[in-house]
Amino acid sequence: MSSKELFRLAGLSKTFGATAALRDVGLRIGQGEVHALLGHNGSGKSTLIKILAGVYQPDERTTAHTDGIPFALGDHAAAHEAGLRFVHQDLGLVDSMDTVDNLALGGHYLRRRSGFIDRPACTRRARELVESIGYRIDVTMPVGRLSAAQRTGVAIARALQDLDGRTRMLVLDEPTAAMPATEADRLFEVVAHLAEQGLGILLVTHHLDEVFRVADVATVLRDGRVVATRPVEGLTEHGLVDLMVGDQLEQAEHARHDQHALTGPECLAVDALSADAVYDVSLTLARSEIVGVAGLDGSGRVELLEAISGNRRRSGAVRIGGARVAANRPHAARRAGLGYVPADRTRNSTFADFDVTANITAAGVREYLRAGLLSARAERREAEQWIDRLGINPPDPSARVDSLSGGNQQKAVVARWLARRPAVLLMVEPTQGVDVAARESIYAAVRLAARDSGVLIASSDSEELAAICDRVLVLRRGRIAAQLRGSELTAAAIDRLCLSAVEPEAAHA
Amino acid sequence: MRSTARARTAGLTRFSGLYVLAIVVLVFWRLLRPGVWVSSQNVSVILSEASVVGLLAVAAVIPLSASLLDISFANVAGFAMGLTAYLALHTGWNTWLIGALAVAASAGFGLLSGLLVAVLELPSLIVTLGVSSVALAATQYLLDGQTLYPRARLAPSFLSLGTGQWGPIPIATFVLAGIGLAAWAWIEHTPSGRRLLALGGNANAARLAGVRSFRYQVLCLTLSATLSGIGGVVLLATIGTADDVSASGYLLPVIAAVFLGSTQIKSRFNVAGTFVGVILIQTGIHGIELKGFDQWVNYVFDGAVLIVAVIVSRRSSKYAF
Amino acid sequence: MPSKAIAAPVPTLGPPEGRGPSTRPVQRRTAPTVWRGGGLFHFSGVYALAVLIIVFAIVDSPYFLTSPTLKSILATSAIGGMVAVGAVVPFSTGMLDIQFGNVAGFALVLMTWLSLNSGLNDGVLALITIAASTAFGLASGLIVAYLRVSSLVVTLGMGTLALGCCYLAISARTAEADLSSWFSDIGRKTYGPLPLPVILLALLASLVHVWLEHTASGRRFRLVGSNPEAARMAGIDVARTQTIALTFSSFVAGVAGVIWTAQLGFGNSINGSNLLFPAISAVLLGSTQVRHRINVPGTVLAVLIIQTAVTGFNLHEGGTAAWPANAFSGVLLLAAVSIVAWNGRRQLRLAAQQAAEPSDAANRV
Repeated sequence: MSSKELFRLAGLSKTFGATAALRDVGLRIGQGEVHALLGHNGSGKSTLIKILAGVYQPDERTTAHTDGIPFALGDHAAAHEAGLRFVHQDLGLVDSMDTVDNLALGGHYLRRRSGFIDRPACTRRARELVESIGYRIDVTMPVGRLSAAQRTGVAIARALQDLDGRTRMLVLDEPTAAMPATEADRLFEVVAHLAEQGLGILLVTHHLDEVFRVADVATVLRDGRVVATRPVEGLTEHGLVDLMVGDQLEQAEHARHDQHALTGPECLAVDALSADAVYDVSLTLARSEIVGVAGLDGSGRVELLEAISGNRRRSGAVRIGGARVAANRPHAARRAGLGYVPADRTRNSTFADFDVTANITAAGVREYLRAGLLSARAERREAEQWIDRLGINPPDPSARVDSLSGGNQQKAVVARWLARRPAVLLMVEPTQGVDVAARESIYAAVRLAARDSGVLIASSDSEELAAICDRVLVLRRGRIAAQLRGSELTAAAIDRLCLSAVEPEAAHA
Repeated sequence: MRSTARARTAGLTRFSGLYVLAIVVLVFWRLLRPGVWVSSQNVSVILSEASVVGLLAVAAVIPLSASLLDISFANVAGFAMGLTAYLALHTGWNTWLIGALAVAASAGFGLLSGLLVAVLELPSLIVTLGVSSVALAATQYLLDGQTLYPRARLAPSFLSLGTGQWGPIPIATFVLAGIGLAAWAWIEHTPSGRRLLALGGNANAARLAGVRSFRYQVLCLTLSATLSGIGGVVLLATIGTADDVSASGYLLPVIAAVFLGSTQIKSRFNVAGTFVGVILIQTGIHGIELKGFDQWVNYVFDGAVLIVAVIVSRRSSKYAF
Repeated sequence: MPSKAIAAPVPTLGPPEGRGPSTRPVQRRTAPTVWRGGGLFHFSGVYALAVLIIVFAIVDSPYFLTSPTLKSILATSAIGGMVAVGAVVPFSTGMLDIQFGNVAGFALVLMTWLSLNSGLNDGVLALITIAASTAFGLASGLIVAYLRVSSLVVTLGMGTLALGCCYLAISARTAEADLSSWFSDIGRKTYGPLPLPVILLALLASLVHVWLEHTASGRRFRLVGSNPEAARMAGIDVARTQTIALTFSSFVAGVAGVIWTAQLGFGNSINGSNLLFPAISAVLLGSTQVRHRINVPGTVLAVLIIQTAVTGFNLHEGGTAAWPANAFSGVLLLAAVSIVAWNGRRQLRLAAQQAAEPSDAANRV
């Protein structure tokens, strides 16, 4: 690997309203170097990538350089010209078409003299392209049927296909987020292969083992700043985790969770549940208990709750209050007393054509009947209660829900289930998109809900889990790897366990 | 490993509809006409009737490839039919010129639909429903509640489009073959056709990759209306009379053929598969007519086949509507 | 439509209370929903109707503003209006129902045929007809909901099946029904200026409207139409809802067909198909009136608008051609949805120009 500089960036800042997402960030990537970009949620990682890709603009006109030639940041065309290529998490492939077509979509088709596509030539070229980056794929198969690693390979091939001359840099944004370990291995062989050919690679990832496997240099972002840029050789996993997580003192302003000395009877029992990305998980939940589920993307954190609630195919048994709940039937689960606040708020949860009130009452419309007809008054009263309690803004029960900001929409969806006081309440990323000030109101509401329900929360925010949960289960690669409770339950401990296969005490190897 | 297993099952399901219907049709034929099977006369009659269905089916499959639904094809065909007949009876113009005008007018309907869908981002179903009503109204206005008999005023060369034959094969079938081949070649073998399919497969990804959806939406709805117009003109040449109900009768067999076709050859809406669908349905219908069954059997058969076709096609692929 | 912010301060609420009747006086925070979002466009249909009436009153005078004309408009609206109102239910659940026209036609033909071929009481025959019609809806509903296939295509097929049954009964001819006088009276009787079918339409429309807007099950149907996935997760049995919706629509079509028989006195296989386009156009056009979604009053208003335009036009032209109904339904539908889309895009553009929510972007990065 040569040390010739390929990409340079300095002094990048980005603020959104009152929040500084990036502060004076600098980056340097050499030719043939695999550079890992690490950082927690809120560290500014995604914002940086989006600015590079031209989705956001930096606060002031900032210039970056590839091969010493400057280009303006925040402009998609300029980045493309400069030789930056991106493979985002959503690969942007058309699943119903094969690799040949997907590659050509990003580029061009080879044609015969007659103007028709020269299919054999295109197929050959596609095969060559794919093989040149180290993959062997059936290029005539619809891309939707390929494995995750192969699909990523196609996306990489597509990104790289039209470059000649100018040295290039490939940005991979969490490419292994939804991949099992074996496929990730294959992907990283490809990455190493590309690096050998002189490509610069910026790899955004959560998985520390990947950093050690394939990266040469690591940059850690925290709170929008670069806290370290070090060669990976000298780093340890523990050290990296420390850099990412910092020496956090438990912040006093986070309301401590009540120590529920007395928890109620068991309300949820999960037995040997397996689903996509979840392997043989068993757990119990008692009434008045708040249990957190932590883990990286792809660890099964979200999939577990989806499976319990019936929104994902599963095997294994789920019992609510002792009674078995039929699998794969969400409305049956609901009837059995299970409430579910999913993560993808707009697609899965809001009734966009309805007002806030109707969204809040949606899970139990029957409760608002007076003499056989819906009482607008009763509904509004329910809505007003939750608007006030959760601080939904603007506090108008008849506002159309999609006129609310994302965070407020989320609050309305949370309210929908809090209003029903179900026996078991499942929540996935409950404060996603909700600003910091308003999170407290949601936490308070969750604690209130816990008086009557058992609550299971899946979240990628370890501070949140540490603040409100009685205990937290940490998932890794689909299995429960650890459980934290009491004094060991801290955000830092959760992070370490999510990231690292090494227990904190046994740290230094 | 996983991908090959899936490929095998998909191949099986893909042809299952074909097998089921083929068996049904064969059984039907054996029962009805023991001894008589496929004679050259039978073939040419089947092909003649199938040609109009085929033309309209190709018209319908083009927007479907881009995930646009155009249900105006039947009434636009009826309009072209009515306009041609009307002009033939009321003016002395050359029949082919009249036919061309009718097709151009049909294209106009398609252009309107395309613009409304592309500019205002209206759902194609609602737009083509409205345009369909307008086209039907236009036909009814021209025909004034009557059936027109323009045969005497139509040039013989024009009429041969519908009733003439080259050897055992009707000329209309050649027209269909030509248009079908062109449509197939465009969609499957040219870059613009592939982009159309990309829009149909994943509109967001396609747009991000630079496909101009506006252009394609207008193009395919205009094309579909143009081909419907041609279908209507051929229909007139075939039956020699124009009324306001003949063409609307094609709505159902065409949609059945297209849905059935989406399970054949490829597991998406596609031209070649549609041809297979048309042949299957026409053979079935013709078998019924041969026997001399009443009109009602036709409708029941059409309706049942459509329902079966959509259930079968849903097993192999998923569509938004 | 985004609403205006509330000026009144938010009262603080205490700990959760029981759901008994409130002892606090209810504060009217916002105006009733139906007037929200600015009245002008939502009621443009009423204005359009007024304009139409004035225009035709002038152009067709002295024949337009007369009792026979009014009765004619209402009478012709009745059957189409009924099936349109029935169709509002499946449309509200997000499905496309295009079989109701042919099912009504089937009911018309079956009732006629039964009256000629059976000695049973007309009331019994009506019940048989309605039951048979409902069966179409039940079958489609089950297929669409449980096999998860396209409602458009299934109802297209089922409607054609119904048409086939018409031809089975009376093939292409028109058959005069043999009805007892009390039954025919259903079609002919008037109470003041209103023919009985119109009163029945008003009754049906009121019932469906109240059900859709003010009952728990009606609300659940609409929630399914808004977001079937979210509805499923909120505990609503989406498949059952869809089945019931299609069944109901065919039931209403059956009832309408029976009343139609009383009105016309004869049966004909093609009548049903003529109902379809104008009725669907009315439902879709109605979704731009009164409320910006599928709704009953909007549908009824749309039916009246289309029928007034057609009647006025036919009066002027002196004929009863078929084309004006299709022309008006098509043009009005296209115009109305275009205007709504245009306004919608304008509002979206304005909303996008206002700064994106900063906290959203910075969170969960």
